[in-house]
Amino acid sequence: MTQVMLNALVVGTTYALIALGITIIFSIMKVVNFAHGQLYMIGGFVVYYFNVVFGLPFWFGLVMSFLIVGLLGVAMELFLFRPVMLRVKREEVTMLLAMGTAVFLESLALLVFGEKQRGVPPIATGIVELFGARLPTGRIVVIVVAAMLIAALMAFIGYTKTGRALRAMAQDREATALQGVNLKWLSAMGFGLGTGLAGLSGGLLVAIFAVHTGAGTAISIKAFLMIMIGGAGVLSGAILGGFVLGFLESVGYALLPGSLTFLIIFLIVICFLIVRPNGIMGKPWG
Amino acid sequence: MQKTISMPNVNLPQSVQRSSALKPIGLGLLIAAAYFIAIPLVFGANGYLLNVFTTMAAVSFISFGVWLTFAIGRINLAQAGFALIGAYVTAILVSRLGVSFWICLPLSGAVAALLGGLIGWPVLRLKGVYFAMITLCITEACRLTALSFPALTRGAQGIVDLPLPGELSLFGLTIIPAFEKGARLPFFYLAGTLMLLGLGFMWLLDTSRVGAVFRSLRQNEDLASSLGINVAKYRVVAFMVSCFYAGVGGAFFATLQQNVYPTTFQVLDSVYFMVYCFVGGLEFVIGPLVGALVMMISFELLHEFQRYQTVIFSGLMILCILLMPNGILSVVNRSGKPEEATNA
Amino acid sequence: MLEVRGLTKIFGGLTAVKDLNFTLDAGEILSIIGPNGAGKSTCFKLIASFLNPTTGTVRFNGKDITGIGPHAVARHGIVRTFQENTSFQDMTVREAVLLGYQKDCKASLAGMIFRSPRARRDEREAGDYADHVLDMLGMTGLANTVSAALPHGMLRNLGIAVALAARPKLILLDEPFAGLNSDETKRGVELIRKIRDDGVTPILVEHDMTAVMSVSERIVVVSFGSKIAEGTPAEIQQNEKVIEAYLGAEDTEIGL
Repeated sequence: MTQVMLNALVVGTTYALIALGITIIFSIMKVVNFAHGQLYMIGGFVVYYFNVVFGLPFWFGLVMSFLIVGLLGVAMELFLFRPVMLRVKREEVTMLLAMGTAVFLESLALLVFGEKQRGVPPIATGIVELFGARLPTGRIVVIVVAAMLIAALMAFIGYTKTGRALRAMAQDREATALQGVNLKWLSAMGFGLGTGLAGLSGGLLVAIFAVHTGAGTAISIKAFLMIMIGGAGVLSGAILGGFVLGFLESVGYALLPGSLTFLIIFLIVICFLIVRPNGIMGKPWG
Repeated sequence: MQKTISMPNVNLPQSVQRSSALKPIGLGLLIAAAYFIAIPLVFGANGYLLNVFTTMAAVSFISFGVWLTFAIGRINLAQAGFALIGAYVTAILVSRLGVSFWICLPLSGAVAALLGGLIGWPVLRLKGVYFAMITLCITEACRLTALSFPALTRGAQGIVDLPLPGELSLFGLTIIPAFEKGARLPFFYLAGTLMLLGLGFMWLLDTSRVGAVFRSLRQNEDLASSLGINVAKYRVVAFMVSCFYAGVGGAFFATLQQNVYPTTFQVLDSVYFMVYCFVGGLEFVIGPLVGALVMMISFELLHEFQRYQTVIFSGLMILCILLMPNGILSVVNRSGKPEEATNA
Repeated sequence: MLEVRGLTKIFGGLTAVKDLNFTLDAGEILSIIGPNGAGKSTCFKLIASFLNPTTGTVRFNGKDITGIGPHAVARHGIVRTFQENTSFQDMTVREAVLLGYQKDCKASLAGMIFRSPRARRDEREAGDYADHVLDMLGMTGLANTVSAALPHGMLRNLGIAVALAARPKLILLDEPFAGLNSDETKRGVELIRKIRDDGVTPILVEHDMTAVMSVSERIVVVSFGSKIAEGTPAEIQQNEKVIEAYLGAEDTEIGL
């Protein structure tokens, strides 16, 4: 059982990071980024290329995964989402745009990166015993880094000027604009921050799981599950959702075959949403 | 095309409605006849291209359902899931119990609609992105169900070697002869007929009072309920009709390909069904058909680019949204008639 | 006709409506007034079953209609309008009004789709009734205008027209005069009298005191969720509790 709980903790921490990225974008743009999983996958490949192909340190690759995927997000906001959101009659169009981007990125990745599964050499060796359960050191490093990143992100959003402006924008775009905040810059930056987190989590997790070009959809679906559990648009909800999913998944995998685990998780989430349509921490919205 | 979209509204006085209703019906039948005769004549020799049209027709049939859920203001990504359910119902009944395909086809739709009603009742309370995400999960859940119960579905191996549709006869009178092996034309006609029936029913529905009620749900559920409209009931009805389309379409594809796998319909297919509706335009019943036609033909035209096909295709899709965010038919419409006449 | 007994609604720890009692006779024009946040709109939502009361009952023509759901309440003959300019954005005026007739349609679902004779008769009746309502509100000329393109005042009228098309016995008008200029308000007052003369009993929730005083036959004053006074406009204007409540809320617009 301790083993299962520890696994849940490992998976949950990294999932929380994924959910935070999609939540940031949702809260400021009211767009669900269906391409989140694909951006995660690209982040993984960035680290693979820097670390394995170019022979640079893993940590350098990790920073680059944040920067490159973040910049990709800024470009997506500036050249795709913004022009469309200015002109559409119906909000569904932006969702479709995100889906189109997801397909585009995935097929492009297939061309550039190929079909092979890619991994990086272990970032740390050895096994640590914790409360009678055994965990590879690499995994411990990953959770610690992920936890530090989450803390840093929460601090950034909570205590810096930019973070406060982002929160204000999430609540009321117009009022924020009236206070002299440059929305154009801020929303591109927020989008970039969200996608950057996707890249970062992909880059970090490539140290544990290998990455392949088809990994995106599964990650996106997991991200949706997390924000539905936690409540869309709420940062604390995203973290909570990440841990809940990580827990369910770890317990399920320990007891059941893989496909049945997720089937049961889907059923649980559907039943849960009937009782609490806005998730655990979610505020009611339309 | 433009004539068919400028259907009269149910709200016009009956006299006006009936006389002008004949026009689109007549035109529609004319186009249908042309489709049934001209396409086999032109592409009959090329089985591959004929198949493209068969697939296009069946895919647009399924997309009509998605269109209907858009009409009530819900983004439905569960369509592939319900199509998969339909496909498995037919595959299991045909392969295990030897039930006739002609019974399985509507039955698959009915099973999908029934399940859709059961799942839809609670889930349809969700709106917007939540509904989109949960329906996406439903599609994924259907795939996992197919994988998880191999006793019934044979898991990842799938159900293969399904027989072709047999003879359909009534009181000893042959209505449809048995499908021959390798013949593509019967499937072309079957898909075309489904598409036309599907479109015809959608058009009747959309121009009727029920269509007006559905549109009112998209615009303001509270206001609709204050007028005595049972919002929950109508939502479920729309969703069940949508699932029926999915189930029938799924059964068709299972028989066309003579096999079903858990991956026959998956999340990406749900996305594509939605794309067809968007590309054609959400304001018009015929939108999914136009969208499927344009998208599938352009996809086939990209065939020679081989491995670049999907990249170019999705790139074009993004470009399409950038240039015409409200769908292809919205462009036709803009140059055509005033806005007021088209809010159907 | 309408009988509200001990109606109470508690949101979390907050009491929005507290032990509210009043009755209404057919053909009477009643207004519910009170300072902002007094619970007037909540009261409407409770009557129209958009919210379930914590305790208390709403009876209509002797039948208990508490919490039976908005569409069921509408089928009993109570229809509400909405604050702001709620409408079916993409529909034309006539389409929206026709939709209001929905609850009186007798055709089945399939009948409607396949145009059964009964469905056609429904449409004819709905059309006739829509024309009558549009004529009454002076909106015949706007019948084919899309709702979203209507000016503010007309949009308000459309809301009333759609509600009337549902042929209610009781119509709950939520701030029918908000945002109207004095000319429009004057016409609005006449309209409410016309509605009453047409056989529909109106209840108003309103801020505009001048209009309330001139149109109402009886007024219920609500403050902090409780009824503090009830009477004719003249009585209410003299009532000290009312004046105090309004001054307390720093709302001097009592129209004295």
